[in-house]
Amino acid sequence: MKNQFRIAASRFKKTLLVSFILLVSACVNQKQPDELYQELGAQAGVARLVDALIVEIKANPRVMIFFQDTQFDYFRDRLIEDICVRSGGPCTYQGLSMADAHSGMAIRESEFNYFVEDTQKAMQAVGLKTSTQNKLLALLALERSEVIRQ
Amino acid sequence: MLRQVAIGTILGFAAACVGVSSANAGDGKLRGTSGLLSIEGSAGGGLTPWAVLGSYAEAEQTGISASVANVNLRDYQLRTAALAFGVGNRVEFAASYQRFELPGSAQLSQNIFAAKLRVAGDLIYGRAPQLAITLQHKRHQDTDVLNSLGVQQSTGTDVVFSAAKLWIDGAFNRNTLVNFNLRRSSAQETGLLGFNGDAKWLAEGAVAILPNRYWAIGAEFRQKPDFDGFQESHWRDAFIAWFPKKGVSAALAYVDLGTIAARKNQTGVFITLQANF
Repeated sequence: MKNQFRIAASRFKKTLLVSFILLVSACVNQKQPDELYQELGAQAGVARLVDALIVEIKANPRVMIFFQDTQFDYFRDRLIEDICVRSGGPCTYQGLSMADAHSGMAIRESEFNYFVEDTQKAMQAVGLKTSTQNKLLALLALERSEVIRQ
Repeated sequence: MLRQVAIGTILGFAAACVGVSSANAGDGKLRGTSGLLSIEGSAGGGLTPWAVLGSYAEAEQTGISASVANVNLRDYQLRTAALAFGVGNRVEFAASYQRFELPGSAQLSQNIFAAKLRVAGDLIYGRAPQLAITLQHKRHQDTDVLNSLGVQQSTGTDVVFSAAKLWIDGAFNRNTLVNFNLRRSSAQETGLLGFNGDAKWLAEGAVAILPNRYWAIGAEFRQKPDFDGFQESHWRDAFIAWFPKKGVSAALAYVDLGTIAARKNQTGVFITLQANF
């Protein structure tokens, strides 16, 4: 009798623990597909970020060398689309593939990082939280293999 | 000390002559990703090397790092100076000098000449971890003291296999680094008490999280061997590192080195300062 009680109590504890873990993970995983897009401030926020990034690019000679022939209005619209799509927003990317867009540029690893640093400065300038910055950077980092050494 | 600096400088010139044509100073890596020079010179944390390469040199760049460290323990003091030369985020040469001061005026010192090769992968980009192999050749400078302790060997070479990964969007959405080492070593107290005829496999690990781009907090573990007559404790530390800009870095750590040469509870404070060119 006592033993049965003990087994029942232990099962109850396990059930409680499992439901607690499920509950916590449900809360943690409760992500909307456009969560990052919203954190970035939706369309207006993404546009503000891209504008800040263009300011950084133009101020950085080591990155600017790759933008000598760039029409910044075109670049701005495509980058807004790209960030919008990658962050889960309701957009369609209408530009070239990453590989084609960087074809012939022979961007080095260091130069890719200088661009990352400009992006960090821009994200800081528009006041994004560190966690939001890291989420976006992790997505942009996925593009590196199609950007460098093309 | 002078000798180390001289050797480091020669290594630097040598590599420059080998044809790193770019005049770029090595600043192509992201802040913090060069780690710091460890007590054995090789880049990493404080007590263990990591798969990261010292200096901020990326491909087609070179960089130099210089650091000094002081570990103040209950009964001992360890002072180190290290110079590292990084070539293209591929190879790292490091020379370091360690002086271990015992109670009274006695001291033990050794020179360490290390080379690290990044074999595969990248610390940040892509799925694969960054893999590196490090050789640390250690030459004890106080052979007489070692002989009086009954230790015959005053030189040894450690081989360290390292894997490291930094997740940009890691724990708590912060940059999160994990490093794991397997070390083959015959060194007693990292070589400060000489070397054994046998070698052992030892495991080392480190984790770090970056609250932002300027700071890292983390912890390290270093397994130590138990050669006959030398009861060594495993080493641990908890650190906070600061990267105000690429040229300068510093770290402060609480270290627990356990029992060293029969003296227990060797805990204390580890401070290191580093410059990168």
